[in-house]
Amino acid sequence: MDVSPITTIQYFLCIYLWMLGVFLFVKRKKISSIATAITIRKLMQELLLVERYMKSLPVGPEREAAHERYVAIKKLINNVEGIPNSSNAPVTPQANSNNKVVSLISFRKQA
Amino acid sequence: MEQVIDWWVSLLSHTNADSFYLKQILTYSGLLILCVLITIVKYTLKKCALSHLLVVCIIAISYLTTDYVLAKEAYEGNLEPSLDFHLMYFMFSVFDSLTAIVILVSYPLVSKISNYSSSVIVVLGVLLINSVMHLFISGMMLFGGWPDKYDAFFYSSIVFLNSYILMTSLYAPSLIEWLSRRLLYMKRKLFSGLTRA
Repeated sequence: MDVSPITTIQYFLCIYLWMLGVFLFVKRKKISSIATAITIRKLMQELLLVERYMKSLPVGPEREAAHERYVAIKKLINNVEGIPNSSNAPVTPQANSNNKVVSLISFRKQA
Repeated sequence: MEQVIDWWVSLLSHTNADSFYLKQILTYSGLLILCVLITIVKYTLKKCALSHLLVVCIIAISYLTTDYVLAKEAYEGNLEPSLDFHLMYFMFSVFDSLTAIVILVSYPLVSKISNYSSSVIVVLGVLLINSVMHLFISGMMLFGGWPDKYDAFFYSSIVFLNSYILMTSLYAPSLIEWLSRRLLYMKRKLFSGLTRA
């Protein structure tokens, strides 16, 4: 069967599109981390603006409202997965060093 | 087995207005529309996330477009195997790939946890497998002679099964989540048993 060059090009374009889909599917963790970064950037920008605005206000109900908004944005940032905070940060092991080791025998000798 | 294959291929080979194939496609479209409506209701009652609604809407738009084109051609009687039959499979493949790409890019931006859930991964896998199956059958039509009944059976059974897996993950995402958790648990149990031995 004779296949026209246009049809062959169409076929290869379809394959290319499918390969692009598979590539993005394999790299989905990278895409989700980029999405997290975009979300955090947006929230941090808003947080800085609200903080600046809050500090420029005198003590009163308006400042209270700005503070509430500030706390709400901080909560949103903490809820985004992938950002380390006190609840999800891994426990770092303490480094052992030789000069901190105490020999019980030397203590006994001193006694 | 031979008879089953013959029956299955004969069921799907006619694509006129009264065929089983077309009725199946229209039923699938109806189920998709119902799924969109149910998901909208669930979203308004705050029983599902916005990201799931987005996935359902994108898939419904994609599938309904291709099904509409197919149904129109079938009712007009233009859908008999001819030299341009492969274009239909190109259309299916392009739509499946594009839908997968759109979901892959837009889902983490809308989702609250910015991570793909198991049901979305199942949806993406189904779309990509269906896309490559359409490419397989159109490639056979173009470069390898007309597909025989075994090729047709292989293609149509996989696409059918995949389509209904897709429908399950759209209707019941929590079932897929539960199944994936269960599978992970079983894998861990098996793995720990092997290491202990």
